[in-house]
Amino acid sequence: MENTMNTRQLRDMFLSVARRVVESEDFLTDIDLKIGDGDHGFGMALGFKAVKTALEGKEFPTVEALFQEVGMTLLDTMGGASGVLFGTMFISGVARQEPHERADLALLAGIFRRALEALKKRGKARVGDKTMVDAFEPAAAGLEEGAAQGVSLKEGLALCAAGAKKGMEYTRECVARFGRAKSYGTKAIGLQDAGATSVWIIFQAMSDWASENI
Amino acid sequence: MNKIINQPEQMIEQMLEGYIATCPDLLEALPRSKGILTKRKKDKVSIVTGGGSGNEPWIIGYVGEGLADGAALGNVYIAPPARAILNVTKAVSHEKGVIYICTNHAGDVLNFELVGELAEMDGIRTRCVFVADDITSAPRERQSERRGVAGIAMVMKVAGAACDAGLELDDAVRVIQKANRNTFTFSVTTSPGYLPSGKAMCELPDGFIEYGMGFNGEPGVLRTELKPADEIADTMLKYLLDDSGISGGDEIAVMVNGFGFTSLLELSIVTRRVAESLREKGIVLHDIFIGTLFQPQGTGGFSISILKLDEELKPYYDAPAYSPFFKKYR
Repeated sequence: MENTMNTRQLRDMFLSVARRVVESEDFLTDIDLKIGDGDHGFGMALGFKAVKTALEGKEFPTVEALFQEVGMTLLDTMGGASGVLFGTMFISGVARQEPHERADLALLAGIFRRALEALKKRGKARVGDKTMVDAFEPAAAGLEEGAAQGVSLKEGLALCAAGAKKGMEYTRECVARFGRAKSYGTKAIGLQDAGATSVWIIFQAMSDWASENI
Repeated sequence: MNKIINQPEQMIEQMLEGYIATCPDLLEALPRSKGILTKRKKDKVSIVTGGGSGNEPWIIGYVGEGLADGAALGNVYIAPPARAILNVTKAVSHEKGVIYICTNHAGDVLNFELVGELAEMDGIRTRCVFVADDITSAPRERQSERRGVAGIAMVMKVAGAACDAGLELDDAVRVIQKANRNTFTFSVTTSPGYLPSGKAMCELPDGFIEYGMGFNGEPGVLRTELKPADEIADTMLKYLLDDSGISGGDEIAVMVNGFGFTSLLELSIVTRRVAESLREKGIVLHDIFIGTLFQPQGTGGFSISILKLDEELKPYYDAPAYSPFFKKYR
């Protein structure tokens, strides 16, 4: 049982995330068509196809450099609100942080917690607004819980993915306060948010990779 | 609906190339950024705009004489990435500051705010104005939360003239914000628009119209059976005057903006009724024009925008504006 990952493992984990997001394009489009513009799946696939190209066969000296590469690639290629928000998810947690060669649960928890706080500030969304924050908040909490209990990386990422899933499911109960979904008011109840679904896909793919490879 | 394109990934670049071929003396492309710039650089506060493509002439047509100095284009209906906006910012004259003008939509706001911070790090002073004119999208007391739609044409015209007149950054922003607060738009959709794939953006059966629908098919505030033009115009004016508080003695400029699928024959009939009704109410019609300055692809319907004028805004509104897709002289 290993409790840290080197940057090559982390890169492989993000490559697996990228593949999963790209495969989910139609699923995300179907969700987004109901209450959004229907462009979320396309945008996510576009961004993570570029992530695949940016990471494949490359070596990254530090965890921070890798996170930044993923985030900047998303920011530059996706456009829209999602480009900024998913870029923030990977960039803002490592900004101004001392570089690390290996990642453990505590490091990942710290990165994603800072990214979450930056995201909330930038997007002005709170839990319950039917956004990606609803899945991200319990995901970050899962990582923190795992780190506090000293569980393995694999178990910590499983807690994180379970939190994200619960949060994504919770968005079905919420009325949107942002974006196009807002104009649907209470008609959006029962439908899940596409951004929260993407957050779950990302953390679930991380957890699945860890359970197979660590 | 049949669409005439080549490869979907090449749509925006190819649109830009074709457009610029019509006016190579006035405009140029900013390669790799889906950006467009005027070639006539001036020593003044610059205006940079941007947003998703697909509502042409909105965005590409808004760069020109008396209008914006540069623009960044996103993919169809998607805000441009921050990096593209930043590249355009650096390519226009930015010594006296840059004002970003875009419609108030989450994607645009996030990217323009972010790029504002990035530009500041490079020593470029920037300000943002998010045009919020769609009266159906939020009540008047939350005016700044409204979506931006066709009224941005009138705000941009005032903005271009104010910056050309040599106003300093903060003063220009004050004038543009005043134009923004004084602009009110209400729309009616008669048939759905189409994505580049040819897929309809919403369902709207023949014989029905929807008031206040967003330009990407977002649900509106009222769906009724199709009525005669005069009745539709009256309904729209009632909403607009109630919301804006404009009444007898006020001086206004009005734009009737067609959504592409609705003909000039129809728009002219509507405009006739709008002018007649405003005069009956004693409202001073400084100017009324029919424009096609904000057209969601293939959509039937139109919007009415009203700009309430005062002595400061009027000369800026009256200044000429020119681009191949946006010509306005008084």
